[in-house]
Amino acid sequence: MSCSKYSNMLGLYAGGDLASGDAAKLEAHLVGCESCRAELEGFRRTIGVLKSASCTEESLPAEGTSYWHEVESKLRGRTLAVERLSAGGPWWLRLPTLAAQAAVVLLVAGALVWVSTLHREQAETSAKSSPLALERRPAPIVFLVRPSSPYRQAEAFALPLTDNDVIFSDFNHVVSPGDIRRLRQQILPAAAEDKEITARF
Amino acid sequence: MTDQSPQSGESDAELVVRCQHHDPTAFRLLVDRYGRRAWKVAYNLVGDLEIARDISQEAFVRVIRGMASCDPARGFRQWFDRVVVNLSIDYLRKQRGVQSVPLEFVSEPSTEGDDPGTLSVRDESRRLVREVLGQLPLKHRAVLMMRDIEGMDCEEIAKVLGKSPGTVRWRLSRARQAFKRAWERRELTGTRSGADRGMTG
Repeated sequence: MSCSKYSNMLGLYAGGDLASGDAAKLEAHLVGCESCRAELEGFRRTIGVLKSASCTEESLPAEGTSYWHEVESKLRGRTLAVERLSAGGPWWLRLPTLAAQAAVVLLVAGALVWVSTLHREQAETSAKSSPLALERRPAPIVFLVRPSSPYRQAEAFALPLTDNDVIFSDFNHVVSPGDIRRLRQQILPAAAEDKEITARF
Repeated sequence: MTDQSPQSGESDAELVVRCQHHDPTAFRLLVDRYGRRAWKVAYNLVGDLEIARDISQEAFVRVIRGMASCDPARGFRQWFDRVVVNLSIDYLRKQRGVQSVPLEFVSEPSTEGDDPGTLSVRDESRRLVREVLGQLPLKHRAVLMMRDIEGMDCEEIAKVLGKSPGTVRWRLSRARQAFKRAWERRELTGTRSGADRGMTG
């Protein structure tokens, strides 16, 4: 195996991180390879440099209870923040909650007012008018004019002649007072119609 | 570190159970037991004393909030270490896009009580190591810090990073090569500039 295949193993071997099988192969190679031995020495040196930068607990500044007090104050700060959010705190922090609560109160109050008004109106209506008091309406009168009938003139004469907005229907057509007047003109003699009209009014 | 508390005589598992029953004294004992260790681990990863202290305290806050999910039988220390390391890596990840603080302003562990000559060499070595590590990609830097500076094994690192131990070894091999190249380049540059200064002087 050439040196390039061992180059990745050298760093791990120098730090004691190479698996035992690979370590044995590397050691066999190192016996006859001076450049790899030099490379390994370089790794050992730089790992030593890194280890020298390590700090131990003893080299940290000595202190009494200040560390604990700092942890305690951090914890208290977090707890207070959580409590403040959950149990009240400044009104601007609780604004969304207050708005939601106000909306719910308004909705409930509005619903109550609406329901009570509806009940009152229904009670007043039922007190004022009986449900059986129906408005009387005139029964419909049907006039039939058959143009081929020998009695057509009499039938046409019997047609009511009014200027109000009563609409006559033959069940298929809507007939207005103007239509009736035109029918009369077609069926009745002009003189008879005029005479009748004059006699009526 | 043993599972037995020097202060209380209770095991971690017992303290965790007490914490789960909302016993503040038990939590205080865990902070006393693992506070400096967490600080040291975070310092070895982020390289700044104050930030490391803050991270370690934040880890306790996270731990107490997630204490209900901690299985006492599986070991508090491993779980807690993972929280500290993850917080440190999160910090390093966030710092990637941020302009780094000049190393002269980064706080170092206390140097009181040691020989000033030794300390200045150690501080200088740490500073240079951090400087060279800063040139590496975060994934390389993280494994080097965890393995060579903090002394975690590959299985622990794999659990923290959510990778397989094989992937961690591969990444570690690459990272050691990259650090070695960068360190040797820096040494070469330093030697050259020193030689230049000697010639001009």
